[in-house]
Amino acid sequence: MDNRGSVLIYTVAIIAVLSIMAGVYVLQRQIDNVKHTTLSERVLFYLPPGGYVKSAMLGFDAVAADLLWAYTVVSFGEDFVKNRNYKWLYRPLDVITTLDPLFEEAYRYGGILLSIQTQQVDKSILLLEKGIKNLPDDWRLYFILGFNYAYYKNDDVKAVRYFEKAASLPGHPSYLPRLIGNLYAKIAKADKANPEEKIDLAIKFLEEAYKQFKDEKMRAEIISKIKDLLVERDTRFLEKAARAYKDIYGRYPDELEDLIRAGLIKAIPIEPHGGRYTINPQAGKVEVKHASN
Amino acid sequence: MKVRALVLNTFKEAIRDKVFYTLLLFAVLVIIVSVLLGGLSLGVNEKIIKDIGLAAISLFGVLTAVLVGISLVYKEIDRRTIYTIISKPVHRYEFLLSKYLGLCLTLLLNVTAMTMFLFIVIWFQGYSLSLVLLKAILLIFCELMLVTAIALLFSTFTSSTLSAVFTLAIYIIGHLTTDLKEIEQASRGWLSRYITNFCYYVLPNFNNFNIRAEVVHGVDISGVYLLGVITYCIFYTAIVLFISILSFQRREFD
Repeated sequence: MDNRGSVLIYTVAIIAVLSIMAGVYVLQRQIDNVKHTTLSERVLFYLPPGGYVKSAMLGFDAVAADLLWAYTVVSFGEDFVKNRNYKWLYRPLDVITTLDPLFEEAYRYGGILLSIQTQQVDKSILLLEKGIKNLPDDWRLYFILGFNYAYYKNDDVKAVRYFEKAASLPGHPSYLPRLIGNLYAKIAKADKANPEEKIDLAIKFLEEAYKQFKDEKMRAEIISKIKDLLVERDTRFLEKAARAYKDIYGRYPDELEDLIRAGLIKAIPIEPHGGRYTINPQAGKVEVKHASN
Repeated sequence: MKVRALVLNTFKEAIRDKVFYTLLLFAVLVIIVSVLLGGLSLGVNEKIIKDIGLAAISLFGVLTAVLVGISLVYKEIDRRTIYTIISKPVHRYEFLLSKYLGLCLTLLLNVTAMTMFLFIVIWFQGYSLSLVLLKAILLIFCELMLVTAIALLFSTFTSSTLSAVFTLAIYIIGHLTTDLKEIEQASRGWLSRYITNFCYYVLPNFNNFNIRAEVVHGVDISGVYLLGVITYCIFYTAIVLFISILSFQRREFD
Protein backbone atom coordinates (compact mmCIF):
# COMPACT_ATOMS: atom_id res chain seq x y z
CA MET A 1 0.00 0.00 0.00
CA ASP A 2 2.86 2.40 0.88
CA ASN A 3 4.53 2.18 -2.51
CA ARG A 4 1.36 2.83 -4.46
CA GLY A 5 0.46 5.58 -2.03
CA SER A 6 3.71 7.45 -2.59
CA VAL A 7 3.47 7.08 -6.38
CA LEU A 8 0.01 8.60 -6.19
CA ILE A 9 1.25 11.49 -4.07
CA TYR A 10 4.13 12.16 -6.46
CA THR A 11 1.80 12.12 -9.45
CA VAL A 12 -0.62 14.52 -7.82
CA ALA A 13 2.29 16.77 -6.82
CA ILE A 14 3.71 16.88 -10.33
CA ILE A 15 0.34 17.63 -11.87
CA ALA A 16 -0.22 20.37 -9.31
CA VAL A 17 3.16 21.96 -10.04
CA LEU A 18 2.61 21.83 -13.80
CA SER A 19 -0.80 23.42 -13.41
CA ILE A 20 0.66 26.18 -11.30
CA MET A 21 3.34 26.79 -13.91
CA ALA A 22 0.64 27.05 -16.58
CA GLY A 23 -1.20 29.42 -14.29
CA VAL A 24 1.90 31.61 -13.96
CA TYR A 25 2.17 31.76 -17.74
CA VAL A 26 -1.48 32.78 -18.16
CA LEU A 27 -1.27 35.35 -15.38
CA GLN A 28 1.86 36.91 -16.87
CA ARG A 29 0.10 37.36 -20.18
CA GLN A 30 -2.82 39.05 -18.44
CA ILE A 31 -0.46 41.34 -16.57
CA ASP A 32 1.32 42.25 -19.79
CA ASN A 33 -2.01 43.21 -21.39
CA VAL A 34 -2.81 45.61 -18.59
CA LYS A 35 0.62 47.09 -17.96
CA HIS A 36 1.71 49.20 -20.89
CA THR A 37 5.11 48.87 -22.44
CA THR A 38 5.83 52.54 -22.97
CA LEU A 39 7.94 52.28 -19.84
CA SER A 40 11.11 52.34 -21.93
CA GLU A 41 11.05 55.99 -23.02
CA ARG A 42 10.17 57.21 -19.54
CA VAL A 43 13.09 55.31 -18.04
CA LEU A 44 15.42 56.89 -20.58
CA PHE A 45 13.94 60.36 -20.20
CA TYR A 46 14.36 60.34 -16.43
CA LEU A 47 17.94 59.09 -16.38
CA PRO A 48 20.12 61.00 -13.94
CA PRO A 49 22.78 63.28 -15.43
CA GLY A 50 25.67 61.45 -17.04
CA GLY A 51 28.18 62.22 -14.32
CA TYR A 52 26.17 60.36 -11.68
CA VAL A 53 25.57 57.34 -13.87
CA LYS A 54 29.27 57.23 -14.67
CA SER A 55 30.24 57.15 -11.00
CA ALA A 56 27.65 54.51 -10.26
CA MET A 57 29.00 52.25 -12.98
CA LEU A 58 32.29 51.70 -11.12
CA GLY A 59 34.50 51.59 -14.16
CA PHE A 60 32.04 49.76 -16.39
CA ASP A 61 30.89 52.93 -18.14
CA ALA A 62 31.71 51.79 -21.66
CA VAL A 63 29.45 48.76 -21.24
CA ALA A 64 26.75 50.91 -19.65
CA ALA A 65 26.96 53.26 -22.63
CA ASP A 66 26.60 50.31 -25.02
CA LEU A 67 23.61 48.88 -23.16
CA LEU A 68 21.93 52.27 -22.96
CA TRP A 69 22.58 52.75 -26.65
CA ALA A 70 20.92 49.43 -27.50
CA TYR A 71 18.00 50.37 -25.26
CA THR A 72 17.69 53.80 -26.88
CA VAL A 73 17.77 52.38 -30.40
CA VAL A 74 15.06 49.85 -29.57
CA SER A 75 12.93 52.52 -27.87
CA PHE A 76 13.32 54.81 -30.85
CA GLY A 77 12.10 52.03 -33.10
CA GLU A 78 9.08 51.45 -30.86
CA ASP A 79 8.26 55.15 -30.70
CA PHE A 80 8.62 55.33 -34.47
CA VAL A 81 5.86 52.77 -34.82
CA LYS A 82 3.65 54.16 -32.06
CA ASN A 83 3.22 57.83 -31.29
CA ARG A 84 6.38 59.48 -32.64
CA ASN A 85 6.75 61.70 -29.62
CA TYR A 86 10.52 61.81 -29.46
CA LYS A 87 10.88 64.40 -26.70
CA TRP A 88 12.69 61.87 -24.50
CA LEU A 89 15.50 61.25 -27.00
CA TYR A 90 18.11 63.83 -26.00
CA ARG A 91 18.66 62.78 -22.40
CA PRO A 92 19.83 59.20 -23.00
CA LEU A 93 22.08 60.41 -25.83
CA ASP A 94 23.62 62.94 -23.45
CA VAL A 95 24.16 60.31 -20.76
CA ILE A 96 25.62 57.84 -23.25
CA THR A 97 28.12 60.38 -24.53
CA THR A 98 29.12 61.34 -20.98
CA LEU A 99 29.70 57.68 -20.12
CA ASP A 100 31.73 57.15 -23.27
CA PRO A 101 32.85 60.47 -24.77
CA LEU A 102 34.45 58.79 -27.76
CA PHE A 103 31.25 56.96 -28.76
CA GLU A 104 31.20 58.32 -32.29
CA GLU A 105 28.00 56.61 -33.45
CA ALA A 106 26.01 58.13 -30.59
CA TYR A 107 26.95 61.65 -31.67
CA ARG A 108 26.50 60.98 -35.36
CA TYR A 109 23.27 58.97 -35.41
CA GLY A 110 21.96 60.95 -32.47
CA GLY A 111 22.69 64.21 -34.23
CA ILE A 112 20.88 63.11 -37.38
CA LEU A 113 17.93 61.64 -35.46
CA LEU A 114 17.51 64.79 -33.37
CA SER A 115 17.77 67.01 -36.41
CA ILE A 116 15.97 65.93 -39.53
CA GLN A 117 14.14 62.93 -38.09
CA THR A 118 12.60 64.54 -35.03
CA GLN A 119 12.97 68.30 -35.55
CA GLN A 120 14.78 68.99 -32.28
CA VAL A 121 17.48 71.09 -33.87
CA ASP A 122 18.77 72.89 -30.78
CA LYS A 123 19.31 69.58 -29.02
CA SER A 124 21.01 68.20 -32.09
CA ILE A 125 23.39 71.16 -32.07
CA LEU A 126 24.10 70.69 -28.34
CA LEU A 127 24.93 67.02 -28.82
CA LEU A 128 27.10 67.64 -31.86
CA GLU A 129 29.04 70.45 -30.20
CA LYS A 130 29.85 68.01 -27.40
CA GLY A 131 30.86 65.58 -30.13
CA ILE A 132 33.32 67.87 -31.87
CA LYS A 133 34.92 68.69 -28.54
CA ASN A 134 35.70 65.03 -27.94
CA LEU A 135 36.14 63.93 -31.55
CA PRO A 136 37.61 66.92 -33.36
CA ASP A 137 38.65 65.00 -36.47
CA ASP A 138 35.34 63.60 -37.66
CA TRP A 139 34.06 65.50 -40.71
CA ARG A 140 30.60 64.06 -40.39
CA LEU A 141 29.82 65.83 -37.11
CA TYR A 142 30.77 69.23 -38.55
CA PHE A 143 28.75 68.44 -41.65
CA ILE A 144 25.56 67.75 -39.70
CA LEU A 145 26.14 70.94 -37.68
CA GLY A 146 26.56 72.92 -40.87
CA PHE A 147 23.36 71.46 -42.24
CA ASN A 148 21.45 72.31 -39.06
CA TYR A 149 22.52 75.94 -39.24
CA ALA A 150 21.95 76.28 -42.99
CA TYR A 151 18.64 74.49 -43.26
CA TYR A 152 16.88 75.08 -39.95
CA LYS A 153 18.55 78.11 -38.43
CA ASN A 154 19.06 80.09 -41.63
CA ASP A 155 22.45 81.05 -40.24
CA ASP A 156 24.68 80.85 -43.29
CA VAL A 157 27.66 82.34 -41.50
CA LYS A 158 27.80 79.60 -38.88
CA ALA A 159 26.90 76.99 -41.49
CA VAL A 160 29.78 77.91 -43.74
CA ARG A 161 32.19 77.83 -40.80
CA TYR A 162 31.24 74.23 -39.98
CA PHE A 163 31.17 73.12 -43.62
CA GLU A 164 34.66 74.53 -44.07
CA LYS A 165 35.94 72.60 -41.09
CA ALA A 166 34.34 69.47 -42.53
CA ALA A 167 35.96 70.12 -45.90
CA SER A 168 39.38 70.33 -44.26
CA LEU A 169 39.10 66.83 -42.80
CA PRO A 170 39.68 63.54 -44.62
CA GLY A 171 36.72 61.68 -46.04
CA HIS A 172 34.48 64.66 -46.79
CA PRO A 173 32.17 64.50 -49.85
CA SER A 174 33.41 66.03 -53.09
CA TYR A 175 30.55 68.50 -53.51
CA LEU A 176 31.35 70.23 -50.24
CA PRO A 177 33.72 72.93 -51.57
CA ARG A 178 31.14 73.94 -54.18
CA LEU A 179 28.46 74.09 -51.51
CA ILE A 180 30.71 76.34 -49.43
CA GLY A 181 31.31 78.59 -52.42
CA ASN A 182 27.57 78.96 -52.96
CA LEU A 183 27.03 79.83 -49.32
CA TYR A 184 29.77 82.44 -49.42
CA ALA A 185 28.15 84.00 -52.47
CA LYS A 186 24.85 84.10 -50.63
CA ILE A 187 26.42 85.72 -47.57
CA ALA A 188 28.16 88.28 -49.77
CA LYS A 189 24.88 89.21 -51.40
CA ALA A 190 23.11 89.11 -47.99
CA ASP A 191 20.69 86.74 -49.68
CA LYS A 192 17.82 85.11 -47.92
CA ALA A 193 17.61 81.36 -48.25
CA ASN A 194 16.20 80.32 -51.60
CA PRO A 195 13.65 77.57 -51.03
CA GLU A 196 14.94 75.47 -53.94
CA GLU A 197 18.48 75.71 -52.61
CA LYS A 198 17.30 74.62 -49.17
CA ILE A 199 15.51 71.63 -50.62
CA ASP A 200 18.60 70.67 -52.57
CA LEU A 201 20.69 70.98 -49.40
CA ALA A 202 18.26 68.82 -47.47
CA ILE A 203 18.28 66.16 -50.20
CA LYS A 204 22.09 66.08 -50.17
CA PHE A 205 22.08 65.80 -46.41
CA LEU A 206 19.61 62.93 -46.48
CA GLU A 207 21.70 61.15 -49.09
CA GLU A 208 24.66 61.34 -46.70
CA ALA A 209 22.46 60.12 -43.86
CA TYR A 210 21.31 57.23 -46.05
CA LYS A 211 24.92 56.19 -46.55
CA GLN A 212 25.50 56.16 -42.82
CA PHE A 213 22.46 54.24 -41.64
CA LYS A 214 22.69 50.57 -42.55
CA ASP A 215 19.41 49.69 -40.86
CA GLU A 216 16.57 48.79 -43.28
CA LYS A 217 13.82 50.67 -41.48
CA MET A 218 15.90 53.79 -41.10
CA ARG A 219 16.86 53.72 -44.75
CA ALA A 220 13.24 53.32 -45.82
CA GLU A 221 12.31 56.31 -43.68
CA ILE A 222 15.11 58.41 -45.17
CA ILE A 223 14.09 57.50 -48.71
CA SER A 224 10.52 58.43 -47.90
CA LYS A 225 11.71 61.84 -46.72
CA ILE A 226 13.83 62.31 -49.82
CA LYS A 227 10.81 61.49 -51.95
CA ASP A 228 8.70 64.05 -50.09
CA LEU A 229 11.37 66.67 -50.70
CA LEU A 230 11.57 65.74 -54.37
CA VAL A 231 7.80 66.21 -54.64
CA GLU A 232 8.13 69.63 -53.02
CA ARG A 233 10.96 70.57 -55.35
CA ASP A 234 9.09 69.40 -58.45
CA THR A 235 5.91 71.15 -57.32
CA ARG A 236 7.73 74.45 -56.91
CA PHE A 237 9.42 73.98 -60.25
CA LEU A 238 6.15 73.31 -62.08
CA GLU A 239 4.24 76.10 -60.32
CA LYS A 240 7.02 78.55 -61.20
CA ALA A 241 6.71 77.48 -64.85
CA ALA A 242 2.91 77.80 -64.61
CA ARG A 243 3.26 81.39 -63.36
CA ALA A 244 5.58 82.13 -66.29
CA TYR A 245 2.90 80.63 -68.60
CA LYS A 246 0.29 82.92 -67.03
CA ASP A 247 2.52 85.92 -67.60
CA ILE A 248 2.68 85.06 -71.29
CA TYR A 249 -0.83 83.76 -72.02
CA GLY A 250 -2.84 85.50 -69.29
CA ARG A 251 -4.08 82.30 -67.68
CA TYR A 252 -2.77 79.10 -66.13
CA PRO A 253 -2.26 76.08 -68.43
CA ASP A 254 -5.06 73.50 -68.64
CA GLU A 255 -2.62 70.70 -68.32
CA LEU A 256 1.08 70.35 -67.59
CA GLU A 257 1.81 69.24 -71.15
CA ASP A 258 0.97 72.82 -72.22
CA LEU A 259 4.11 73.92 -70.44
CA ILE A 260 6.17 71.62 -72.65
CA ARG A 261 4.40 72.84 -75.76
CA ALA A 262 5.05 76.44 -74.72
CA GLY A 263 8.71 75.58 -74.41
CA LEU A 264 8.86 76.51 -70.71
CA ILE A 265 9.93 73.09 -69.51
CA LYS A 266 11.61 70.20 -71.27
CA ALA A 267 9.66 67.42 -69.57
CA ILE A 268 7.33 66.71 -66.66
CA PRO A 269 9.28 65.34 -63.69
CA ILE A 270 8.53 61.77 -62.69
CA GLU A 271 6.63 61.64 -59.41
CA PRO A 272 8.83 59.68 -56.99
CA HIS A 273 5.98 57.74 -55.34
CA GLY A 274 4.69 56.44 -58.66
CA GLY A 275 1.80 58.87 -59.17
CA ARG A 276 1.73 61.79 -61.57
CA TYR A 277 1.68 65.56 -61.35
CA THR A 278 -1.41 67.47 -62.48
CA ILE A 279 -2.29 71.12 -62.44
CA ASN A 280 -5.40 72.83 -61.18
CA PRO A 281 -5.96 75.45 -63.91
CA GLN A 282 -8.00 77.79 -61.67
CA ALA A 283 -5.43 78.41 -58.97
CA GLY A 284 -2.32 77.35 -60.79
CA LYS A 285 -1.54 74.81 -58.07
CA VAL A 286 0.23 71.58 -58.86
CA GLU A 287 -1.09 68.42 -57.25
CA VAL A 288 -0.09 64.80 -57.17
CA LYS A 289 -2.52 62.20 -58.45
CA HIS A 290 -1.85 58.71 -57.27
CA ALA A 291 -2.37 55.67 -59.47
CA SER A 292 -5.49 54.69 -57.53
CA ASN A 293 -7.31 58.00 -58.19
CA MET B 1 61.88 24.66 -2.17
CA LYS B 2 58.97 24.79 0.21
CA VAL B 3 57.57 28.04 -1.10
CA ARG B 4 57.25 26.59 -4.58
CA ALA B 5 55.48 23.54 -3.23
CA LEU B 6 53.06 25.70 -1.29
CA VAL B 7 52.39 27.90 -4.32
CA LEU B 8 51.61 24.92 -6.51
CA ASN B 9 49.47 23.41 -3.81
CA THR B 10 47.46 26.61 -3.47
CA PHE B 11 47.07 26.74 -7.22
CA LYS B 12 45.79 23.18 -7.43
CA GLU B 13 43.38 23.75 -4.59
CA ALA B 14 42.06 26.94 -6.11
CA ILE B 15 41.36 25.50 -9.53
CA ARG B 16 39.42 22.71 -7.90
CA ASP B 17 37.16 25.23 -6.27
CA LYS B 18 33.66 25.11 -7.74
CA VAL B 19 33.43 28.86 -7.55
CA PHE B 20 36.34 29.16 -9.95
CA TYR B 21 34.59 27.18 -12.66
CA THR B 22 31.19 28.74 -12.10
CA LEU B 23 32.58 32.24 -12.55
CA LEU B 24 34.49 31.18 -15.65
CA LEU B 25 31.30 29.74 -17.10
CA PHE B 26 29.38 32.93 -16.41
CA ALA B 27 32.06 34.99 -18.12
CA VAL B 28 31.76 32.77 -21.20
CA LEU B 29 27.97 33.14 -21.17
CA VAL B 30 28.19 36.90 -20.90
CA ILE B 31 30.54 37.09 -23.86
CA ILE B 32 28.17 34.97 -25.91
CA VAL B 33 25.25 37.22 -24.96
CA SER B 34 27.21 40.24 -26.14
CA VAL B 35 27.18 38.81 -29.65
CA LEU B 36 23.39 38.65 -29.55
CA LEU B 37 23.16 42.17 -28.15
CA GLY B 38 25.22 43.58 -30.98
CA GLY B 39 22.43 42.89 -33.44
CA LEU B 40 20.18 45.37 -31.66
CA SER B 41 22.45 48.31 -31.82
CA LEU B 42 22.64 50.10 -35.15
CA GLY B 43 26.04 48.90 -36.16
CA VAL B 44 28.22 48.96 -33.06
CA ASN B 45 28.58 45.16 -32.79
CA GLU B 46 32.35 45.17 -32.62
CA LYS B 47 32.42 47.76 -29.87
CA ILE B 48 29.82 45.93 -27.82
CA ILE B 49 31.58 42.59 -28.00
CA LYS B 50 34.91 44.09 -27.02
CA ASP B 51 33.45 46.29 -24.27
CA ILE B 52 31.45 43.48 -22.71
CA GLY B 53 34.30 41.03 -23.16
CA LEU B 54 36.78 43.22 -21.31
CA ALA B 55 34.21 44.08 -18.65
CA ALA B 56 33.49 40.38 -18.12
CA ILE B 57 37.17 39.55 -17.73
CA SER B 58 37.50 42.37 -15.22
CA LEU B 59 34.33 41.67 -13.24
CA PHE B 60 34.62 37.90 -13.06
CA GLY B 61 38.31 38.22 -12.39
CA VAL B 62 37.58 40.41 -9.39
CA LEU B 63 34.88 38.05 -8.17
CA THR B 64 37.26 35.11 -8.49
CA ALA B 65 39.99 37.03 -6.70
CA VAL B 66 37.70 37.92 -3.84
CA LEU B 67 35.68 34.74 -3.45
CA VAL B 68 38.53 32.30 -3.90
CA GLY B 69 41.09 34.54 -2.23
CA ILE B 70 39.27 35.12 1.02
CA SER B 71 38.87 31.46 1.56
CA LEU B 72 42.62 30.89 1.29
CA VAL B 73 43.64 31.56 4.81
CA TYR B 74 40.24 31.08 6.31
CA LYS B 75 39.86 27.55 4.98
CA GLU B 76 43.14 26.55 6.55
CA ILE B 77 42.04 27.98 9.88
CA ASP B 78 38.63 26.42 9.60
CA ARG B 79 39.99 23.02 8.74
CA ARG B 80 42.58 23.35 11.45
CA THR B 81 45.29 22.49 8.95
CA ILE B 82 46.84 25.81 9.93
CA TYR B 83 48.30 24.26 13.06
CA THR B 84 50.06 21.64 11.01
CA ILE B 85 51.52 24.30 8.82
CA ILE B 86 52.71 26.73 11.46
CA SER B 87 54.30 23.94 13.34
CA LYS B 88 56.37 23.11 10.28
CA PRO B 89 59.61 24.93 9.46
CA VAL B 90 57.76 27.35 7.24
CA HIS B 91 57.85 30.97 8.20
CA ARG B 92 54.46 32.59 8.46
CA TYR B 93 55.37 35.11 5.82
CA GLU B 94 56.44 32.34 3.46
CA PHE B 95 53.09 30.69 3.98
CA LEU B 96 51.19 33.89 3.27
CA LEU B 97 53.20 34.85 0.22
CA SER B 98 52.83 31.37 -1.22
CA LYS B 99 49.10 31.60 -0.83
CA TYR B 100 49.19 34.93 -2.59
CA LEU B 101 51.36 33.74 -5.47
CA GLY B 102 49.28 30.59 -5.81
CA LEU B 103 46.17 32.66 -6.24
CA CYS B 104 47.91 34.98 -8.69
CA LEU B 105 48.80 31.94 -10.73
CA THR B 106 45.16 30.86 -10.63
CA LEU B 107 44.03 34.27 -11.76
CA LEU B 108 46.56 34.17 -14.56
CA LEU B 109 44.96 30.97 -15.78
CA ASN B 110 41.51 32.50 -15.35
CA VAL B 111 42.35 35.65 -17.30
CA THR B 112 44.18 33.74 -20.01
CA ALA B 113 41.24 31.40 -20.54
CA MET B 114 38.75 34.24 -20.74
CA THR B 115 41.03 36.24 -23.05
CA MET B 116 41.43 33.33 -25.42
CA PHE B 117 37.69 32.79 -25.50
CA LEU B 118 37.06 36.47 -26.17
CA PHE B 119 39.62 36.53 -28.96
CA ILE B 120 38.05 33.46 -30.53
CA VAL B 121 34.64 35.13 -30.46
CA ILE B 122 36.05 38.34 -31.95
CA TRP B 123 37.82 36.38 -34.67
CA PHE B 124 34.71 34.32 -35.43
CA GLN B 125 32.65 37.48 -35.81
CA GLY B 126 35.22 38.74 -38.28
CA TYR B 127 36.49 41.74 -36.37
CA SER B 128 40.02 43.02 -35.97
CA LEU B 129 42.04 41.29 -33.30
CA SER B 130 44.03 44.31 -32.24
CA LEU B 131 46.74 43.42 -29.78
CA VAL B 132 46.04 46.70 -28.05
CA LEU B 133 43.34 44.80 -26.21
CA LEU B 134 46.14 42.94 -24.45
CA LYS B 135 47.30 46.18 -22.88
CA ALA B 136 43.91 46.60 -21.25
CA ILE B 137 43.97 42.97 -20.14
CA LEU B 138 47.44 43.41 -18.68
CA LEU B 139 46.16 46.24 -16.52
CA ILE B 140 43.10 44.20 -15.60
CA PHE B 141 45.46 41.53 -14.33
CA CYS B 142 47.42 44.10 -12.33
CA GLU B 143 44.15 45.27 -10.81
CA LEU B 144 43.34 41.68 -9.88
CA MET B 145 46.72 41.24 -8.17
CA LEU B 146 45.99 44.26 -6.02
CA VAL B 147 42.46 43.15 -5.16
CA THR B 148 43.78 39.71 -4.23
CA ALA B 149 46.32 41.26 -1.89
CA ILE B 150 43.57 43.29 -0.24
CA ALA B 151 41.37 40.20 0.10
CA LEU B 152 44.29 38.35 1.62
CA LEU B 153 44.88 41.15 4.10
CA PHE B 154 41.33 41.02 5.36
CA SER B 155 41.32 37.25 5.51
CA THR B 156 44.23 37.35 7.97
CA PHE B 157 42.11 38.93 10.64
CA THR B 158 38.41 38.59 9.92
CA SER B 159 35.92 35.95 8.89
CA SER B 160 35.43 35.11 5.24
CA THR B 161 32.11 36.92 4.92
CA LEU B 162 33.45 40.13 6.36
CA SER B 163 36.58 39.84 4.24
CA ALA B 164 34.45 39.63 1.11
CA VAL B 165 32.35 42.59 2.17
CA PHE B 166 35.36 44.74 3.08
CA THR B 167 37.26 43.85 -0.07
CA LEU B 168 34.30 44.64 -2.31
CA ALA B 169 33.78 47.87 -0.37
CA ILE B 170 37.39 48.88 -1.03
CA TYR B 171 36.90 47.92 -4.67
CA ILE B 172 33.87 50.21 -4.96
CA ILE B 173 35.58 53.04 -3.09
CA GLY B 174 38.66 52.61 -5.25
CA HIS B 175 36.52 53.34 -8.30
CA LEU B 176 35.01 56.47 -6.82
CA THR B 177 38.30 58.22 -6.16
CA THR B 178 37.88 60.60 -9.10
CA ASP B 179 34.79 61.93 -7.37
CA LEU B 180 36.93 62.36 -4.28
CA LYS B 181 39.29 64.53 -6.27
CA GLU B 182 36.33 66.60 -7.46
CA ILE B 183 35.06 66.97 -3.92
CA GLU B 184 38.51 68.14 -2.88
CA GLN B 185 38.52 70.78 -5.56
CA ALA B 186 35.06 71.94 -4.62
CA SER B 187 35.73 72.05 -0.88
CA ARG B 188 36.32 75.20 1.04
CA GLY B 189 38.50 75.26 4.10
CA TRP B 190 41.93 73.69 4.25
CA LEU B 191 40.97 70.87 6.63
CA SER B 192 38.36 69.27 4.40
CA ARG B 193 40.66 69.66 1.42
CA TYR B 194 43.50 68.06 3.32
CA ILE B 195 41.37 65.13 4.44
CA THR B 196 39.91 64.43 1.01
CA ASN B 197 43.31 64.79 -0.58
CA PHE B 198 44.78 62.43 1.96
CA CYS B 199 42.06 59.86 1.34
CA TYR B 200 42.54 60.20 -2.39
CA TYR B 201 46.20 59.24 -2.20
CA VAL B 202 45.88 56.61 0.51
CA LEU B 203 42.99 54.72 -1.01
CA PRO B 204 43.77 52.49 -3.99
CA ASN B 205 42.89 54.20 -7.24
CA PHE B 206 41.41 51.50 -9.44
CA ASN B 207 40.60 53.97 -12.21
CA ASN B 208 44.29 53.94 -13.11
CA PHE B 209 43.89 50.39 -14.37
CA ASN B 210 40.84 51.17 -16.49
CA ILE B 211 41.94 51.79 -20.06
CA ARG B 212 39.24 49.55 -21.53
CA ALA B 213 37.20 52.30 -23.19
CA GLU B 214 40.26 53.91 -24.75
CA VAL B 215 41.59 50.62 -26.05
CA VAL B 216 38.30 49.68 -27.72
CA HIS B 217 38.22 53.07 -29.42
CA GLY B 218 41.77 52.53 -30.65
CA VAL B 219 43.30 55.35 -28.60
CA ASP B 220 47.01 54.87 -28.16
CA ILE B 221 48.23 54.07 -24.65
CA SER B 222 51.78 55.17 -24.03
CA GLY B 223 54.30 52.75 -22.64
CA VAL B 224 55.13 55.35 -20.02
CA TYR B 225 51.59 55.26 -18.68
CA LEU B 226 51.58 51.46 -18.59
CA LEU B 227 54.87 51.39 -16.79
CA GLY B 228 53.69 53.98 -14.30
CA VAL B 229 50.51 52.08 -13.47
CA ILE B 230 52.29 48.73 -13.20
CA THR B 231 54.80 50.29 -10.82
CA TYR B 232 51.97 51.83 -8.78
CA CYS B 233 50.42 48.39 -8.58
CA ILE B 234 53.65 46.75 -7.45
CA PHE B 235 54.27 49.36 -4.77
CA TYR B 236 50.73 49.35 -3.44
CA THR B 237 50.54 45.55 -3.47
CA ALA B 238 53.85 45.37 -1.64
CA ILE B 239 52.51 47.62 1.09
CA VAL B 240 49.31 45.59 1.44
CA LEU B 241 51.23 42.32 1.56
CA PHE B 242 53.58 43.77 4.16
CA ILE B 243 50.65 44.72 6.37
CA SER B 244 49.15 41.27 5.79
CA ILE B 245 52.35 39.64 6.96
CA LEU B 246 52.43 41.80 10.06
CA SER B 247 48.81 41.00 10.79
CA PHE B 248 49.39 37.32 10.28
CA GLN B 249 52.55 37.27 12.40
CA ARG B 250 50.77 38.69 15.35
CA ARG B 251 47.80 36.44 15.11
CA GLU B 252 47.30 33.96 17.87
CA PHE B 253 45.98 30.55 17.02
CA ASP B 254 44.28 28.77 19.86
